[in-house]
Amino acid sequence: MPIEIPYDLIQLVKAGDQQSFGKLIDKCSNYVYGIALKMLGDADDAHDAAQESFIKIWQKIHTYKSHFKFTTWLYKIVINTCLDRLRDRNRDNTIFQKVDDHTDLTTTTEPKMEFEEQEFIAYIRMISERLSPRQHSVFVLHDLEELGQEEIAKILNMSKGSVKSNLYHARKAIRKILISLDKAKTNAL
Amino acid sequence: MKCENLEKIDLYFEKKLNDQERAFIAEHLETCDACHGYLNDLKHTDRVIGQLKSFNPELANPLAFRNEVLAKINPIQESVFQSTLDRIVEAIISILVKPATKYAFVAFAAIFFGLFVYQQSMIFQKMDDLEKRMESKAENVPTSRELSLETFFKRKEAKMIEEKHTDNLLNEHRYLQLKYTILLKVLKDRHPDTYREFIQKIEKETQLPTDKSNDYEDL
Ligand SMILES: [Zn+2]
Repeated sequence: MPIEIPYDLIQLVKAGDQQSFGKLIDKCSNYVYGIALKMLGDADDAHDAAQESFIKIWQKIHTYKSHFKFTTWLYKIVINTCLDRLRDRNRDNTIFQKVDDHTDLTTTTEPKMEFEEQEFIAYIRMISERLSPRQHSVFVLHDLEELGQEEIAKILNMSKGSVKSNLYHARKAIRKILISLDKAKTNAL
Repeated sequence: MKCENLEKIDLYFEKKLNDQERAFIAEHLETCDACHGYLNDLKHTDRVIGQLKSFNPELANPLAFRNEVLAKINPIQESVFQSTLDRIVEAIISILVKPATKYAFVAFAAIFFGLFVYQQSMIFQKMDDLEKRMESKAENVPTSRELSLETFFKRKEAKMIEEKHTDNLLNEHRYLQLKYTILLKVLKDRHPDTYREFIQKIEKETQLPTDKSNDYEDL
């Protein structure tokens, strides 16, 4: 679900206008939060990452060149902020214990048509823990955000070939996760 | 046991096979458990990804979110130069409390004043540049007949941005002036002797017109 940010709004933010920056935040805070939640699988962490991203946007807006799509630039900032957090999380394994607090997916019945937030978060959390940060980013951008491979390559600073292979491995890993989840479900019954 | 057709199942699922291959796999699926199971896995994965995709997370309180971000980005405190000034003002005010160190104060105040003049001249320079740019643009304005609607709006937008720049510079300038004024006021109230000494020192070291320093005195 791509968003449109008017060109003049970006120019006003570039000129240092705080009020316009407030408008920009209003326009894309849910969007940025959504990307962060898909990357991190934790509501509090995603909230903080989204705020950090906006602060970076404010500090770096003068480096944004308007021949680029604004959303591509935005993704770059949000994804990098989240990748830093994922890296910190890997360093500090204690955070992983938080996973146990989330919804136990093995006890849920057949998937409903729509996800509840807790279920969504639990799935994302599980996927993000099993995939490498690169695979997870490619998966989020391609399968959930529905971006093209070329744009993803730009956002993640990798080749198109690398995007493809990361996507292939990500999907394979996700399939495995879901199968093992199914097995756990049948065993639980 | 692995089935040799397993690799084709991906393509079958993605509808990338030609009619002939498609028909073959469809028939094969009826008899091969491995391929049939794998196709189900693909469908299941696709369904879950679809559900994940259709979920749009929302902030609990977007208004609070925005205000929190804005509170964190105060542009004036962000600048290193300004925070240096803040530290100097703090140092000076703490010194003012101890009358014995009034000479140290004069030294501090002189440094502060130097920074003030420098910062102010930078602001004026920026304003001059901006004005010149606007003037040179005004010279090249085509007649109204030549001006298309598009260029008209582009110019209007550019003008708006430049005005915003000027506003920001003016604010910066006002902020600086305010801090300086507060500093002088504190000094005048608490240590009138040091104040007079300080003003004399400034007038000697810089060629600031006297009427300008009177402006500060009034405040
Ligand atoms: Zn088979």
